Amino acid sequence: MKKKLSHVQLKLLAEKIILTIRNNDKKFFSQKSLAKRFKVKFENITSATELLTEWGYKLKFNSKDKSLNFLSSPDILSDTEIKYKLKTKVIGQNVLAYNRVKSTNDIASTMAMAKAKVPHGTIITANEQTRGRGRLGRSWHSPPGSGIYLSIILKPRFSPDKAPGISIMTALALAETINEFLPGKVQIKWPNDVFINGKKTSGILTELSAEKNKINYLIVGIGINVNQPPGSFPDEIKETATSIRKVLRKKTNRADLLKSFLLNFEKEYDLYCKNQLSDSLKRLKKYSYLQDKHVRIISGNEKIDGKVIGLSSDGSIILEQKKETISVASGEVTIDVQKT
Amino acid sequence: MNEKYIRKLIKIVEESEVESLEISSWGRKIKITQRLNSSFNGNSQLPAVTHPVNIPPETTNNPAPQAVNQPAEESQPIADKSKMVAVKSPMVGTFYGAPSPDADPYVGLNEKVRSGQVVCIVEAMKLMNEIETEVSGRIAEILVENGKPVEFGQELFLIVPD
Repeated sequence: MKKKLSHVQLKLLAEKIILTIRNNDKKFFSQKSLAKRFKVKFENITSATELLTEWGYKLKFNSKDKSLNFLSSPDILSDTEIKYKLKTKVIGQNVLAYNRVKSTNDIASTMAMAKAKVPHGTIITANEQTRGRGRLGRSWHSPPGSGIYLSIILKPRFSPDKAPGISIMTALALAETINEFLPGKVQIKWPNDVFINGKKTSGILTELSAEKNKINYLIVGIGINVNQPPGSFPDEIKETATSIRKVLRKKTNRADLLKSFLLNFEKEYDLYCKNQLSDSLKRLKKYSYLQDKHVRIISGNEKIDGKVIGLSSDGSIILEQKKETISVASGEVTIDVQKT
Repeated sequence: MNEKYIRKLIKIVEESEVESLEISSWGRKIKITQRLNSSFNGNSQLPAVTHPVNIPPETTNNPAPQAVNQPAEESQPIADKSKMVAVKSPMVGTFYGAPSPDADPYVGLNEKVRSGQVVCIVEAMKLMNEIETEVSGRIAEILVENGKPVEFGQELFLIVPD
């Protein structure tokens, strides 16, 4: 009976304790009653409480009645924090929360490739990425403790040609989320850049594994600049990047933002599976950074000029040219300042 | 430069596929020109094939005479075309032959590939779609240039299966 708990067991106990006292803040929990409840020694409760404090939880210990009360949680992306009051049905219900990784997308694809049974909607999060990836081998600045680095594993039943629109759907879910925290300032630049006040606050990297007519899995990687203090971005992106904190002028709890995003994501994903973007076009228009602007799209080696009149339900951008209206599926968009 | 000499020159030009011949000798110059396909040329059996300018398009497009001339072993790769397997684009997007602009291409011409190997990327709306070959073999043709738009179902590579 005197057996000491292993570190993993202690971690699990700490998580159980925090859930219990947090969910019942009116109730009285003494350390003794917690020991009884979880069938462990009193000392284990003390060690677990110390661990919680170490993680950054603020607890109040009343020496008189030996009761333990929850005060506040730290701004960390742990599975305990993510699962707490997560309202989704599927997305994020299976969480793998890491502190520091090379890239959450790498972990997600390794998992999805190796384990056929990894459930749809599994998420991988990290507090820091040492090699956050962007498109075309570019990197994503991922400093510790201030951003959200997330990958979602999806196993859709739709065909591979419908996969690209997922990037835009994700951007919309992100815009809806940021709009809850910072109303009226968020915009989407087609296809998937999310801007606050015209500066990039989030990046989306979607990766697909598919056979001819079937998607094996789809990984949506998302980096969100949340609590990066003003002036903390490296030189090469300092003019073009921003964080929510920079505009809101205060910190946001990342787990709260993440949970709100997962809920929005689930909602948009369900819509997408039914009708692609048909039900989202109106909202996409509302957030559009490019609507009615004259643009040049560089798509591989091709240059296409025109005025943006909207999106089609598969996510392509529709341009109005002198003689015709065309839809473009890929490319880098720049605004033609002289014409707009 | 007497008449006999000139007649000889004319004969040479007529029998040749040369359009004009100019000769100078001892300060004299003579130029003989012929209109190769003209009716009065007389030399009607002058093979038109040798002078592409005058071939009617039907003749150029007709591959039959060439095939006859081709030795059996040389015609082998052409015959194989029917057995080649095409890697097709699963979506509308932009074709990229390499993982990033400064990286080496995934595959080159005549390179051996294994089934399941990534041969290119088709990008649409920033979704990087790694395209794999379903057969093992040799890359016989790369049908799309790097950075060009591709359509749904468009053939990207032709592979000669092992």
